[in-house]
Amino acid sequence: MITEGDGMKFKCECTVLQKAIQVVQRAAAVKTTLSVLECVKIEAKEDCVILEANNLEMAIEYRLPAEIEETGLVLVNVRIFSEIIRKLSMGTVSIRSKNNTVEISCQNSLFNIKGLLSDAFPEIPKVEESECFEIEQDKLGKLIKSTIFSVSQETTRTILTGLYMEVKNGYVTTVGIDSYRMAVRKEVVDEKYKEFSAVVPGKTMTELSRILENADEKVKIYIGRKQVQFLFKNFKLVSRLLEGEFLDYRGIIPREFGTTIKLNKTNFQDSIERTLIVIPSEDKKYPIDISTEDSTLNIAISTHLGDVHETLPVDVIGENIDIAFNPVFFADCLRVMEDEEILFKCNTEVGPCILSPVEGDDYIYLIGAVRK
Amino acid sequence: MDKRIIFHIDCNSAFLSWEAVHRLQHGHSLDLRTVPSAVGGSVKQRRGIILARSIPAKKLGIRTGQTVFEALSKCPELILVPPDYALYVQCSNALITLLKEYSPLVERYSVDECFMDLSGYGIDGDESVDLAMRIKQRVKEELGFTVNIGISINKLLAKMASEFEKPDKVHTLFPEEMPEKMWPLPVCEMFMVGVRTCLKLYKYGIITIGQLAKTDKELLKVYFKSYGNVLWEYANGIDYSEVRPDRRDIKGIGNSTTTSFDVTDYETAKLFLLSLSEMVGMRLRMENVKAQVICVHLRNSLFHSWSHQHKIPIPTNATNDIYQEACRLFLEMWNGQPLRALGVRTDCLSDGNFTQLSITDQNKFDKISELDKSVDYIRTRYGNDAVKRGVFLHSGVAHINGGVHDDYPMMSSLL
Repeated sequence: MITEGDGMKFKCECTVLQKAIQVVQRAAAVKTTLSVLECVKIEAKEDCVILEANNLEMAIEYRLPAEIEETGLVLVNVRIFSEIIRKLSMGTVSIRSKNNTVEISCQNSLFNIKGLLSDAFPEIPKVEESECFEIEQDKLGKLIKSTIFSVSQETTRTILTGLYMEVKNGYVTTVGIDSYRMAVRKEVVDEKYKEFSAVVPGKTMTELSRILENADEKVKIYIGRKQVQFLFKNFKLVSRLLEGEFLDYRGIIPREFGTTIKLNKTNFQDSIERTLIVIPSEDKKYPIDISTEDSTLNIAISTHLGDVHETLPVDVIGENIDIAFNPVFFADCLRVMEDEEILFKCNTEVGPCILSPVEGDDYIYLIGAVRK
Repeated sequence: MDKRIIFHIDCNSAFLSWEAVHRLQHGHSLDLRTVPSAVGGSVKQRRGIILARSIPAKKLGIRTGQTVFEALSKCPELILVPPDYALYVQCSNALITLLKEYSPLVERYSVDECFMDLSGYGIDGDESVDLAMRIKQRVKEELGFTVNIGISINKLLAKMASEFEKPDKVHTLFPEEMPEKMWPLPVCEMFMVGVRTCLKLYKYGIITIGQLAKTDKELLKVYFKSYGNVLWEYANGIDYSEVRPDRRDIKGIGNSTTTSFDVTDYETAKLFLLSLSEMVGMRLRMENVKAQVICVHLRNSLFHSWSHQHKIPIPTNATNDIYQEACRLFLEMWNGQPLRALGVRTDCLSDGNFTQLSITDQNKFDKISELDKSVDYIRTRYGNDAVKRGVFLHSGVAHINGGVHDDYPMMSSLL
């Protein structure tokens, strides 16, 4: 029986609550002067419980099934709450609030923690006039993980701190640019979707990729003028969008290359990873030299800790090269590539190089060279 | 292992002698060292302290660290010369090169002092004095300035020894000489003891280094925590630190300036930030390093200071990059109050030989770096004023600001 009171009371499965709070927690603010943003809002409705967190950049609302005894809502610090829920033993959790205290009990444990006044909690904005498309979770995850590392960390050019997302001709493309490199990746979606694009804050995308499960279950994405909404079966994530014009990423990619090298991705990646060993942690800016001699690719690095030389058999079409690059940029890309054979294209004079699949254009990585 | 032999080489009134040598080499007839003279800022602009002074100036009561104003009122005929950072680095480098002929273990401790480890060459105490005399003589003849050399078995005692009578002297301070040479000295003369510690020590009745050495270590720990331990060890001449030749000479490069008038508007503040960035950029390029962290610090007319810093993604030594970041930081932190001092500093230095090229507007970056290079060349050749930015014309703000480094540990040679 449901009764109205100043408090709320419900029971639910511990594992369900654990999963919910794990997701919701990602939208809570970490360090802020507004303590309400570090809270999770727990609301017992007639038919379900809603957990909500909002850091004003992004918000998550999660619905979970529960046995409601009294409706109502309470705010509680998300870190304490999630810590408690995570450490509870299995079974049924019972949660009730009275005035500003939240009581959590489960088997042999009983917690009473302080809650917060509830009227200051920000409302999740409605995403209006929105375009919409659907994509499988694993595909979206792949899109994000393959490009997010290239998103700029530099706050002075705000637009580049976001991940560009574009729907066009039956493809979704994500692009990350940080002025020194660019990552582009695309996945197939239904052709029926209208063409549109948006720039989502990098932080939102990072959190989203952690929530996504490796499943072919679909996510519905609504893109409004100022917000984007990712709708899942039992929760939604709403984030603000970055305003401004994104770079014309297609225009940045050089059209012609003097040299095209076909190489084995795993071997190349292993070589690059080995060069990272001699890079001192205090000065990460040492470049690697990549040069070719007939059918051999030489990779060399020299730091005050020592040097590394790697040779790889490759197919070189065009002129021999001798260019320096930041090896970390290579390692980042190679870690997310799936093909066994890839192309490495560059020009003999100092200019950016690209890494791409042998066939097709599912992804493209552009890396600026280092001048010595 | 044999006893260690450590030299501490300290240039006598470094900035002044270097300036004097430089002037003599460039046709001046007056040797600044023979008249009351000093290196310092400018009085008109109400800033600056005496950084170094000649022996005649010392006799007239001019002290290092004194304000220029104070010094001039005490000695109106004092010849003041502005500091010249580039020259100091040049002289310092020349000294290090010479010393490295004797041992590879040379550590630049600050721009005007260094340590040299001569252990393991089979030199005993007397021979080390002969060697020090020879080195001192060579520096005087080949480089034109005088140094004091302190000799002992560790860095601490060697440093104390070089502080004894100046100029142009060699002193030893081996442990057995401590009771006679070091312990009678007042505690404030000891390395690592500043004004605060000194006053605290006086309060406990500790006046000389000897008294400190004889004080119960545990008692010092009660008064000074772990620092008490350090004090006691130093007073007893205990120091195991190594001479570190690969020590990065500089951790960061920064300049600051006290303005001749209170800065109350952004446009003027920008001029100061630009003039400071010019200096910082020049120095970064001179050291062939790039910085990744840019920091701006401000001081208001009530002498409150505060600062903001930011780590940029790719290291830079371009004046423009530093300036733009400095302006951004300034706007982020300035609340409109009148400012009397501004500073720009850089940190997190890396090798300046590498340039990460942009994938978008590379040409611009290349042009800026070429521009900086050309301007640097003109300035080293024809002087800093040979080329200046148009914004500084009739602005009343010096186009390059912050002549003296504030990042080398200056030790005793500066307050």
